[in-house]
Amino acid sequence: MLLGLVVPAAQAQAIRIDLDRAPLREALLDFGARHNVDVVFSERQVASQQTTCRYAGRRLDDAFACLLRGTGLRAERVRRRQYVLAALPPAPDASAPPELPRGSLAGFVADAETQEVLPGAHVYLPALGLGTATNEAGYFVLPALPVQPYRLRISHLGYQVLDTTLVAGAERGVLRLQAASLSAGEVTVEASRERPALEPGVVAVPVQQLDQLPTFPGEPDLFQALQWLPGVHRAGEVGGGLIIRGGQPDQNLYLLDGAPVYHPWHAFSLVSTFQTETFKDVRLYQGLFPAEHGGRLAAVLDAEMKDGARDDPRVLAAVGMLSGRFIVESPLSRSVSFMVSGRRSYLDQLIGTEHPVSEGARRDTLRTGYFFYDTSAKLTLRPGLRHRVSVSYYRGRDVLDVRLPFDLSLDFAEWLRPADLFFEVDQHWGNRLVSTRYQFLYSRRFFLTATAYRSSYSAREATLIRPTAASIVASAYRVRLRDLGLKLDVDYYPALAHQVRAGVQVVRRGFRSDLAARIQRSPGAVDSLDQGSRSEAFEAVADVQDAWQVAPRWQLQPGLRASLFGEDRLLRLSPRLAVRYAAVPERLVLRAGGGIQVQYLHRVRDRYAYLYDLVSSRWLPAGTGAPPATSLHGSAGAEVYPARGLTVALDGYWRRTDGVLLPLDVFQTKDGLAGPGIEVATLLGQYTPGEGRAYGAEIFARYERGPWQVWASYAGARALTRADAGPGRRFRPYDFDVPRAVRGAFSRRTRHWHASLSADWRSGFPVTVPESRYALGDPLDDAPIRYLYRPEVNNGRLPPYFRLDLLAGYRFRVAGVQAQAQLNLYNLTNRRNVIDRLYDPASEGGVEARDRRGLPLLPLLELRIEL
Amino acid sequence: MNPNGSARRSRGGRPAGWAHGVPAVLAGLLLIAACDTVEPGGGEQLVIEAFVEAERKLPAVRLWRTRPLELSYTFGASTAVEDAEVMLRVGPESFPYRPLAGRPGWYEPARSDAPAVPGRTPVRLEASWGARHATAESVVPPPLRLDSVRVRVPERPVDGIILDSLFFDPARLDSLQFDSLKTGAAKGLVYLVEVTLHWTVDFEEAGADSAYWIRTQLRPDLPTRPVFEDFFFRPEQVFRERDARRADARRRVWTGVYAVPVGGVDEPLPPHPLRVALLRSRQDYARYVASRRDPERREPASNVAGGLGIVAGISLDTLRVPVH
Repeated sequence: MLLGLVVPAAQAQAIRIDLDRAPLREALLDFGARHNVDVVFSERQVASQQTTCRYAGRRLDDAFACLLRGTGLRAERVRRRQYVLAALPPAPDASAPPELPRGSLAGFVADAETQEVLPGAHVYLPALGLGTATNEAGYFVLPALPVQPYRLRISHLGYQVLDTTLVAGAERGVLRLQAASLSAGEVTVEASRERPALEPGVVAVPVQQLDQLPTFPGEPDLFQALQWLPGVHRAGEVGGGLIIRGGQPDQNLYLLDGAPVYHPWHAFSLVSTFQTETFKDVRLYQGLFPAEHGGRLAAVLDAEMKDGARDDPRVLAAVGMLSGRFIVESPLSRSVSFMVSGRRSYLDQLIGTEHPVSEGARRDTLRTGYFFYDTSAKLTLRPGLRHRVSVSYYRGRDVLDVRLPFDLSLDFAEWLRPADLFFEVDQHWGNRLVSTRYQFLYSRRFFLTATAYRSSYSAREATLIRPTAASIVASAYRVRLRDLGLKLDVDYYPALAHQVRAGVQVVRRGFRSDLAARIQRSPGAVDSLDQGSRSEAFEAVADVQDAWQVAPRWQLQPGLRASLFGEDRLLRLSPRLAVRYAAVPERLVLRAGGGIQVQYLHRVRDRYAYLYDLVSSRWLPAGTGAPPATSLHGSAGAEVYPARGLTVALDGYWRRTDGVLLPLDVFQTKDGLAGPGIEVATLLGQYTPGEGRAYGAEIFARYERGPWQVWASYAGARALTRADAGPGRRFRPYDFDVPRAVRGAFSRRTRHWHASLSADWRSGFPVTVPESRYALGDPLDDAPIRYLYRPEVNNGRLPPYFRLDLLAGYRFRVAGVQAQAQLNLYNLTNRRNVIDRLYDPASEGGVEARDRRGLPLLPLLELRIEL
Repeated sequence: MNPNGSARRSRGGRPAGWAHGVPAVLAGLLLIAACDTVEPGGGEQLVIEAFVEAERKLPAVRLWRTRPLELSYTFGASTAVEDAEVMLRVGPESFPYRPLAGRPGWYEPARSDAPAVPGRTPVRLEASWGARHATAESVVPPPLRLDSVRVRVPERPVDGIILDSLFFDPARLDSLQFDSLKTGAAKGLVYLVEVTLHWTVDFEEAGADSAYWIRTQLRPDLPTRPVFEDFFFRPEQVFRERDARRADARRRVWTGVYAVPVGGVDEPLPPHPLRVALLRSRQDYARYVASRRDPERREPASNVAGGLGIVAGISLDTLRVPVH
């Protein structure tokens, strides 16, 4: 396939033309068909023109010159095997060959209402069958075109398609797209069929549309929305990390305005830190990343915060079942705008955080505080079209502060007395980042982006337990990871057929963890722990990638990423290649790609002790004892547009990973106060390097027509792991292996109402099923203990999971304010899905399975107002 | 080209024929990719339980069999292996074993004059049962002896938490763990009894002698004991011997705590016997012990190839102490 592309048979093909007063239109069509050349012209140019030509040779330029002699036209080569007919300029010297001037079609694409620039918008020249996409600054350029007017079609998911005309070489302008809006009861969102198909594995997440689907706990959440995409699951029923195409949660990179977020979760992974309404663009790369992204094996989520409205101030406020939130965006001047958002859970405000109690003369203060919050802000300054500076800030935190008596129960009245014997838990964890980005259009063909960021993840776990009047357990554990990064990217458009993006990045990472604990079991039995671990790792990256339009239907994207990491100076090269072929333009696009990824950070957690790593995760740099993990990824797919409004995407993928850390003892879970300790070597000793395999095929169909929207997907996939050490070296199903998953959503939106019905069916997660039972004794025990024999891990599967959700919302105006009330019925059929299965070996009779069930039907409400 | 006029394109060539087949191939992959190969296996396993103690005569060993989950499991003939061939190799010598009359599953040395096993002797047990052959190896550690046991009983009991079950029943939980507050805890009075053991390491902890593990255990003979005892107190511990606290260059010391519930603040400590155990072995046994206390969650680590169970060389000293 590639050989045929690079050396087309027609390249050296003999050309023979013998025409006498033939209609020019038919002559050109016939010539193009015979010699595999795309000739673009308008009917007006060739109307009533004739040609007389006799030519024998091998040069296309000469053949065109012969065909067009005397017509006042000439054929301008736009790119390989594509020519555009243009009028000849008056030649000052009849003997010299006329040179047509060339120019670029360039500009910015922005939201017409908010003036927000739109990254990833598709700019398409229907006549040339040529397109490009805007970069993160909303800029596009199609260079080296004959100077003349061109009709452009600009599209972006969630916006109405814009048809306009631009003249190559003219001044850059801003092209404004109207957001999808309710117009006469109809939604006018449709994906443009002519948009360039994305590379395999890339999903431009249509946040606004996914937001209209049911979520848990009924509030907009990016990660909840992502679950509607094929190949994306959560590790738990409503919580847990994102499993993307069989990858482990720590194999995903979450970027917020170019800076990594290490723990993108709140409320014990119930909701993500990513509020959908604060983003203008979200891209999910599954397996095959652009060369500019790396550092993870499975996926990259690249989210860009809104710049803030540039026309009128906007305010959104909402309250849901779990939290209340607001977003304010406004211009400060013609060139400055901002966006500020905040969210906080409020359960602690309802039940109170501190409860003074007394009994006689004794006083105490019980605490029941848990809350999370996040704030994000972005200030954007645009001194002119060529300059743009933005400063982004994000801070998210979870705080659990509890002091309760040991003998608590669900009868809260019993708590209201001073606690002699109690446990206190004071845990904080979260992220903070600041990112500054400067974008500079140096010339029409050079675009510079510089990003500097500081991102940190920190967690603190403090525990105070008093199980008896003479015993006390006190511990303080801290984890911190801090990134300082600088990144410089250059977009260079050397020719119409090439878009080059190159960049360099340096990151300094600091890792730190400390533990201080005192365990007094009785006055004479006291243990003290004082441990710490600090390290730093420096990473330098250089990357380059070219989007090369080889031929009208073919595009290649070769890329290379080179990275140098840590004290051991680990050097890794990550090549990648993506190919796209418009088999039937506007109907069928095929795509394939492959590449190598490297991950230098391992996320691990102590598997023994309750006093640390309870809510926090530790990221460890690759090095001695833990080599970097690598993956080899390949994928192929097709995007089909069989009918208006209908898009069908098929994708197949395969990934092999090496060097991932897997638990050495899969059955080990936390079971004691103090485990082996927090030293890095001790922690790594609980894990062993392993391999992974993931493969699958996905089909995703989306139909959008007027107020209707239908999504349906099926994914058939496997994810397997194998540890290098420990019992059994066979590949076994990964804990979240899902062989089959079917999802569907059906929604309708009108001026006042919107409703969605969605269904999620998937294979149950793997479970370790015992095969038999046995008993064993010990010299210090009186009687043997019965055990279950589990020779294979994840050798069984839970029953299939199925859930039906219904969402209904109503928009109305009250006191001049736009409001929306939304009811989300989670698990409409009240099906109690099996989410875990346990076996009790102790009974003398047969062993029976005991199931742990999922959530029942839950009504979830949200009220939202917009100003 | 007039942008407002109709554009005509002379398309060079046609899409390759293979291109039309690609979606069909991908669709086929959808079905193949989902093949779920997960399924439980089966088969009866031979289970060995043997502890060869230093400076003691060769022990009796026990052979069990696994039983299907749906069948009952009692400690008798139905779960014993009575027709196996068992051989214990102690250093260069081999000792065949024979079934022990009246005790299903137990085997004893066929020779009545089997010698005591000295410390640092490698042992290997081989068992054949039908087509199953299982082997396990260990090393008998040097003998050890309790130098002293000191028991400290407080004058008065203290308030303490008595738990029916410290950890919630996971089967009752839903995804949000609404029921996780049902710990079943109640407040009571307990005596915290401290027991300090001393023993002597009379060899250099170098080479193979640096790899020993110690298991300590306090077993009071009481009618009831708090469930949470193992979590907050320390009636038992397994640790590397070289990491043990040192009383001096040779002597090691360990302090454990157990709780004795009483009914009232003036109620004296109920007199009871306490068995104190000190056991030395190697890592296989330490892993076995550390993993055998939560049978619902996991099975103990095995060092038997071709079967299940544990074969370990141990040295053991126990002492019964009256506590009052």
